[in-house]
Amino acid sequence: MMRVVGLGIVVSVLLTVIRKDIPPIGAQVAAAFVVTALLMLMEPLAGVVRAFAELASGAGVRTVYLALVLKAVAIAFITSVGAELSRDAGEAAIGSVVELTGKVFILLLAVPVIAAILDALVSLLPG
Amino acid sequence: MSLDTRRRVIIRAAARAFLIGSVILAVALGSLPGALAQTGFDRLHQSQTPLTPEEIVSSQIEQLSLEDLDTFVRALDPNVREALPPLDLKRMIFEGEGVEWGALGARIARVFLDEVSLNLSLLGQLIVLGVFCALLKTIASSTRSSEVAGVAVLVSLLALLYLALSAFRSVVATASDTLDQMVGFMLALLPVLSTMLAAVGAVSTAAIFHPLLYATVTGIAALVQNVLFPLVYISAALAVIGSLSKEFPVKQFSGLLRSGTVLILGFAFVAFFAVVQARGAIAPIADGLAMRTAKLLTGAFIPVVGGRIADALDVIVGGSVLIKNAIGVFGMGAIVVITAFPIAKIFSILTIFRLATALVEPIADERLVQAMAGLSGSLTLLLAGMITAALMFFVGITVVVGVGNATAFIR
Repeated sequence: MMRVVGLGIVVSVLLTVIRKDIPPIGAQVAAAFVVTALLMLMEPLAGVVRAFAELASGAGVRTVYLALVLKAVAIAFITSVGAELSRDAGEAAIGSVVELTGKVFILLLAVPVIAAILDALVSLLPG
Repeated sequence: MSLDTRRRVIIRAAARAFLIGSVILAVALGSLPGALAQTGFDRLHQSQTPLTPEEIVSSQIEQLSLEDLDTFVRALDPNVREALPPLDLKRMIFEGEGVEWGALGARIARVFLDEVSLNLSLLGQLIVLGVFCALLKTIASSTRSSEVAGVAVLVSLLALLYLALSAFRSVVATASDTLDQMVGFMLALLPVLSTMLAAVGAVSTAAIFHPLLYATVTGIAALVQNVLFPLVYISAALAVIGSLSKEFPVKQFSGLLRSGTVLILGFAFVAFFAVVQARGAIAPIADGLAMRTAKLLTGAFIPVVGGRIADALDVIVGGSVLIKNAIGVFGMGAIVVITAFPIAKIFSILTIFRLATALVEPIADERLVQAMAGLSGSLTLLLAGMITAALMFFVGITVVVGVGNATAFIR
């Protein structure tokens, strides 16, 4: 945790200089930092997911639901990071497309659940 | 009162008594379901030894057709059938073994606890998923582009709602099945009760009550099945849909449907009571008077054996009262048992819904809470509808039984 925070401070300080003197590599350095930080986050994140899974299996939640929820959040995270990076590089259009992709994939993920809910609702209604 | 009116009243009473008397004689001399009276009377007529009440009642029971009722009981769910009092009228009458209410209560309590523990996993799933949703929402909102995160949270809400909805659906199926069962039972029981009512001498009461109860039972069932339950379903569906989207608020409409359901239910209940009680107050008195006159006429005008026949009439009517009350008690017990198990199930799921909603509310999304509250509100209504229907059937049986007793006592 401390490493990520320290690295973040250092990179931010460096970036103020880099962006002024050599603007072309500013975005690349930022991207490199994000990727490194995410990689460092992998291990604790795996711990969190494992804890969730344990909790869920303890409560008898079907893994389908848990997988659905976790995947949706993961997609949301990844696409939002990508979108922010693109915006940072000054490409707002690309950023919004990345976000859109994320939304589409989450919806795709949710299609079975939505269909099941609609099915349940329709079967409830008379006639 | 003028002499003329009084004469007319007396003539009318005599005509009525003659009618009832002839009906009872016809019943006593054979034919019809009322042939139950035949055996006892014949034996009394042939042998000079006095008959014991047990013999008369037994021979009456033997003649009574309980096939419909028996078939129905045999078709029931084994779990329910086990809890049901045995359809053994002789034992109920002579040994006083009716419905064991204490054991029944204990059994129902056990079923309720079983259902709760069975559905505890549902509670766990709902709560854990609710907590996940809340956690993910806070994590997701830390990223700046919260639109994608919003979609992700919505998806996890959907997963939760699906869980709740499938539980709701199973409850709906149970409720509807139970109502069918209750109606089937009432339709099997009513002919038997009406037969016994006529055998007691409450001929005009039976004539009034049989069609009245038939109409109300089928009417109540149709009302609940075709009007109330659909209203409840629609309000539940609206509550879920309305909670999913902020742009399409239908909360009020759902509430409107719900209060409409309550209103209809209450109105049906009051109307049922009013009709049944009003009818039940008048008819038995008239029947009782007619019976009394019939007995008097039989004793006074039939030469030689008249007095004995009148006494036999008394014993036979008394036996019929016993049988009728036994059937009534069986019917009440059966209605209680048939409804108790599904009600325990619905109630346990309702409890779990309410509990989950209450526990999740401080952390979870407001939409989720709203949807769950809507679903549990609909469940409450479903429960209320079922209990009301059962209560009406119960009261119907009670009134029929009580009315017959009133007739017999006035005699």
